Amino acid sequence: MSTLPLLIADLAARDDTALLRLLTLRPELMDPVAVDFAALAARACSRAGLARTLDRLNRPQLQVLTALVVTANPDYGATVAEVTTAVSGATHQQVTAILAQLCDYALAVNIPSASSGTCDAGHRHFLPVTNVREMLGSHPAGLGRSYRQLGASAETTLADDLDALLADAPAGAAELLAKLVPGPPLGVLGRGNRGPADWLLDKGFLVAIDKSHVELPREMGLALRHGHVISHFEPVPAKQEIGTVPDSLRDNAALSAIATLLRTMASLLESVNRTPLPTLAAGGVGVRPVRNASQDTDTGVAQLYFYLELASMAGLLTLDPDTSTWRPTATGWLQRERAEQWLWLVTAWLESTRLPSLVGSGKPVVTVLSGAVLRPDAAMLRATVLDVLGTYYGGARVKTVPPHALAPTITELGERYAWHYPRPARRVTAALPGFLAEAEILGITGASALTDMGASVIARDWENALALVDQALPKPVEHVLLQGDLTAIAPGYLSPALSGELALIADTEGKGAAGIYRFSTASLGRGFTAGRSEADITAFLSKHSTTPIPQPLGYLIKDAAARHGRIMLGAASTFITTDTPARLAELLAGDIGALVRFTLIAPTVAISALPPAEVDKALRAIGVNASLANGDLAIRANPTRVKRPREPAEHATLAPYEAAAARARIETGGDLGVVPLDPRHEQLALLRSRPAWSPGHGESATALVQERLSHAVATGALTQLTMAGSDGGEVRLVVRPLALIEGRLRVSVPDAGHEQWIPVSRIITAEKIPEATKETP
Amino acid sequence: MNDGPLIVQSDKTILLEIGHPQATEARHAIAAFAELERAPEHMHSYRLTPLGLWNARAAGLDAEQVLDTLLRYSRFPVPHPLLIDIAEIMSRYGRLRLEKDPVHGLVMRTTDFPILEEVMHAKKIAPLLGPLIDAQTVVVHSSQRGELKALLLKAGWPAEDLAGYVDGTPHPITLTAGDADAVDSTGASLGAWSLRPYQAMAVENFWAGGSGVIVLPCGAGKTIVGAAAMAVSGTTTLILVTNTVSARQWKAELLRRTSLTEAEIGEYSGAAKEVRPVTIATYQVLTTRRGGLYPHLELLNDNDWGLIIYDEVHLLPAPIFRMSADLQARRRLGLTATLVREDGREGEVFSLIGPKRYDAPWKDIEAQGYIAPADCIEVRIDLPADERMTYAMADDSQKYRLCATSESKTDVVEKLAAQHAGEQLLVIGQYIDQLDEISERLHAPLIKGETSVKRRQQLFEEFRQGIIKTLVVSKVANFSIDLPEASVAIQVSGSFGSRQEEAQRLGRLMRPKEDGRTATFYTLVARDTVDADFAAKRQRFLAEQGYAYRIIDAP
Repeated sequence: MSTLPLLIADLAARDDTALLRLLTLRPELMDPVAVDFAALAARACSRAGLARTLDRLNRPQLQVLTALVVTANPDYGATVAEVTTAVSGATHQQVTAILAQLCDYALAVNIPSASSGTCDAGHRHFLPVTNVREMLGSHPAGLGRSYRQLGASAETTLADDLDALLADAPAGAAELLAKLVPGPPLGVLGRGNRGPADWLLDKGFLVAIDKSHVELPREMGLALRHGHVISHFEPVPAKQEIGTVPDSLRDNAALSAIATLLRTMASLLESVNRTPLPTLAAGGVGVRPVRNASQDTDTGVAQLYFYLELASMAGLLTLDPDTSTWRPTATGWLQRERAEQWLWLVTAWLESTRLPSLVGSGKPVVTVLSGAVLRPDAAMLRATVLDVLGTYYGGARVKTVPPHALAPTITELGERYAWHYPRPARRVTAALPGFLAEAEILGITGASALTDMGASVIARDWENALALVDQALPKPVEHVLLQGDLTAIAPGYLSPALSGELALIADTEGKGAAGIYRFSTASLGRGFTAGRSEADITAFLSKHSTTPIPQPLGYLIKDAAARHGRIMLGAASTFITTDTPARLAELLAGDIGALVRFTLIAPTVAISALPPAEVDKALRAIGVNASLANGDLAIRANPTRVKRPREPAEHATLAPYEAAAARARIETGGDLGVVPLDPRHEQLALLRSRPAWSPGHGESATALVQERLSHAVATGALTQLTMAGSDGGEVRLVVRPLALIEGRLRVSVPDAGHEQWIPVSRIITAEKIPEATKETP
Repeated sequence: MNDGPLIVQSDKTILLEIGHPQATEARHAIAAFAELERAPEHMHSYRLTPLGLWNARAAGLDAEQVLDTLLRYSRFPVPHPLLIDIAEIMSRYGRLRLEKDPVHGLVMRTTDFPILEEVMHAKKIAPLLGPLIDAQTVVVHSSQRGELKALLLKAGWPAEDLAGYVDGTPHPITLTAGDADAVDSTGASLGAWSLRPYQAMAVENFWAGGSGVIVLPCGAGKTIVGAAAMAVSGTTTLILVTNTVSARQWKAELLRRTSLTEAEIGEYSGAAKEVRPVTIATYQVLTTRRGGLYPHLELLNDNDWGLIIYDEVHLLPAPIFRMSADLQARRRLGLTATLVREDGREGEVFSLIGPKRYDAPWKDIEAQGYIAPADCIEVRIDLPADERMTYAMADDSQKYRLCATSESKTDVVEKLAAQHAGEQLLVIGQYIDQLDEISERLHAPLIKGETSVKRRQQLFEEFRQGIIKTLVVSKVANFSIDLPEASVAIQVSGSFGSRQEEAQRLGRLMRPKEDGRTATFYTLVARDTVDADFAAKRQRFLAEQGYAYRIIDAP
């Protein structure tokens, strides 16, 4: 029986609440908007849609679905009782509830003859929707393919009393079977004693696939499992003894991590601003520039990989295509409050499809900021890991964490994850240590336990997360302590403006919450070169120091100022000299002084960076006719247009967590009073406004073909295919479909007597034909 | 988050805000495991080092107490990786233990077999070990106890030495403290004196720990600490000192402060070779080599010393280290003002002499009035044009000598001496030519290497009594010379960038003055030359101890 029309009817019959639930569970179904229920159903059955949904199922859901797939008759489905029998240890009630959930997910449907058309899990027949069978693979629950699929007959063997038969088996046969029964059902024939295997093959317990491989057929496997598809039903996660961490330790770890994160990121951006990171020909950034940045930021190379990736996720670093270098972007991140800086990074990390922990692994080695770090499912894996972490504290919507927080180890979390998300568990295993290390750096966890801000992040409650971090981070200090050993100590986080100025006139030392700045002749010289005078520096230090300037420091500043600039070098395009200092002073004091930016370098000499022609023009505009040095008339003959360097446009970018709200504002035309429409309601309104189905059109037509093919594979029915030929015309072929794997159909062609593979994308229609009639193409 | 006085940095330094109400409490708490690195006026900085943490473990502190202290007093969250690191480092101490076994003698035990396995396979350690008795115990050749401890420390598995000490030959010694009738060698009354609280604490810590080093500023009475340790021990004692003058001062001080008589104290130096219940030997005589052998080494081994005191342990020469390796069964006390070894062998001091048992910042002792306050002044001198040219063209190896011995320094010394006329003044320098000239210009006697011990002692005595007001000394007077009334010192040149030399020289002024005067320490520096760089390096130790140098231009 075709399930697609059934699913369409089922969806159309659901009430608004049920449909909204479906759209919440499977949001990808409305992206883009589905035009009618048929399109919605087709998407629900598509391989991509199913892959995502199956990834969301927990272990009992997946176990019941697997049992349903194995027990369901392709035409009539299976009853709750049949499925319950197939799941060892499950109660009728549990299976009923889970089947209802699977219907909610649109993974299974009721048979209409047995129901009123709604997805109600009473004593009814259920069918898994198209493609679920294929998505679970050819060996669901470790069971092999059927005798029919393996091309063998087993009626004799199955009819016999298996136990009695096995009692006569040669030594080793029972052990061999015991290995294959729990799955995987495939075995390799060794070179040693083949006696037991040959006996099992002979008696039909096993079927040879080729010369060296055997398979335990599904019917036999089930019989040996006493009819249980699932031998051990796990309705709840296994109990774990998890260690705890005092909340003081956890908060200390998280807050110190957040402070370090923000400090390191700021210093990384500064380092990359000084020295942009060049890309390799093969993509990514090489080890050497990373090592330099690692020294600049005093952070280990391995950790710096994460920081670089995080900076690119957050849009703080971008690749400049003209120079092939990574440079900081003008995002305004540095100017944000520290809590906002943190949330910006955290949300960018959550949404990113990059997996920084891949850097440095593999062969060839994955380089940082290269394409190889991309993993489309990274965001989903990250979100699920955090959700599972949340389950230790009472679920994903946990707001606060108790005083003695549970701190699961990687293994414990991995085991818990495998219950909640059994399908992606294997993919997450390799990435899990990386995720947790990153969560620790970001302060989502502290000492391996979830923090309060981490809980808010899981709950996507940005406001609360911001408030928590803002409250917990120490307030910035606005003063320093000046000491006789020529240091200035900032006892806490200094505002960027203050720390920037200090870093100009002193060298930073050490690494940590407090800033240590050491003054030296060289560092003060840097300040003088940048245009600070002795008086400026003294005034600045007096203003921001809680203590008077110590004598040695005062002496150093005076001494350095006196010795600075004994020999000076600079660039000048034009000089202007006058007969008396008063004349020059008068010129400079007027408008012209500001216009051509004169710098006085001696009482009667000033210089300008503008070319002589420009200066000459400006002077003549105010009626001053300067004589030209060396009679250089070319200055006047060839006036050139001055190009001023373009200053980077100041624009602030939105943090990832603000982007969604901003999008909503745009959709509502910027009217803050209007609440944007929930996309689910829009989708619902559209579905309700259209007829449920026009067969043979749109997305559902392809899905229907797909479904018929899988049905034919399951039943082994003779099918007539209409396909697009190589010349664009239609070709017909009568085949017996054998398997549907990865978008390709394996068929046997009875007329030609051989097997072949057909791409499903070329099949236009598939019609089941009675065994007696045969048509030639 | 509390508002404590500490800021724990991720680079393993701890900043302590002095002005904070809890500062004293916090300082006492962290001094046990962190090394004071800098002590300027507002923020002291401490460093967490493996050696410091192991010192703490040796003193019975565990990681949990250390972490608790940091978390309790820290103003900001403490970097978590740092906490883990501390716990990990501290857990390494004592995983290997040296113990006495009734059957096999000295053995090394562990409860963690892989560590034993690791060290047994280390190339340098393996030859020091005997057969394996069981999975957790290995025999150690008793002569290799010190060597093994030094190597284990280098390997990162410092062993806890529980093998105990030999008792030594008993020889009762009592202090004359509290005895109003106590007299010194000349018969002059000492009056009632008593052990200062920090001295008593230092001795107590040392005795509880068994062996170790006590760090006290110059003039804070290290000799008395030595005497007190001898009194507690009540055994024959060997005292190792830097030179003969120092040996005689030890002797005089012991006669004053203890019940020991002249006949009980022997001098073992170039001049005399007496072995008595208390013997004072110089490093020089012990390390004299003849025909590839150390003929005086038996002194260490042939006598059943109950206590060995190493004076100025920061100067301990390498051969003495090697010899000390064989003396692990005897109690060892190291004394120093500056546990800064220019050769970086602090690790060997830790494993061969023992962990640091007591350390007090100089400014603390000064605040208690036990050492004189000092005013440190750096005088910057402009070289005259001709000297600048000579300096500019000189070979690198000659540069320091040229600027350090500038003519203009002598002029400045004269002016400063005139300013301090009537005060007890020392001029200290490195280069003999320069000192000869200064001595001539100031009409002051000069003590240098070639001056005989007798002449030295005579000059010191005259200086002490105020007959001589000014004394010019070369580096022979760097250590252990008791000049009670020197109140002004002018340093004209020094051994390049030696931090401990600078500290020891300032130390010459620190004995408390009778009238409570402030001592003045001038250091003359030629501007814009390597002299200034070396001066900055030399001053680091004192600057870290809180002595802020004022800088003035030459008068």
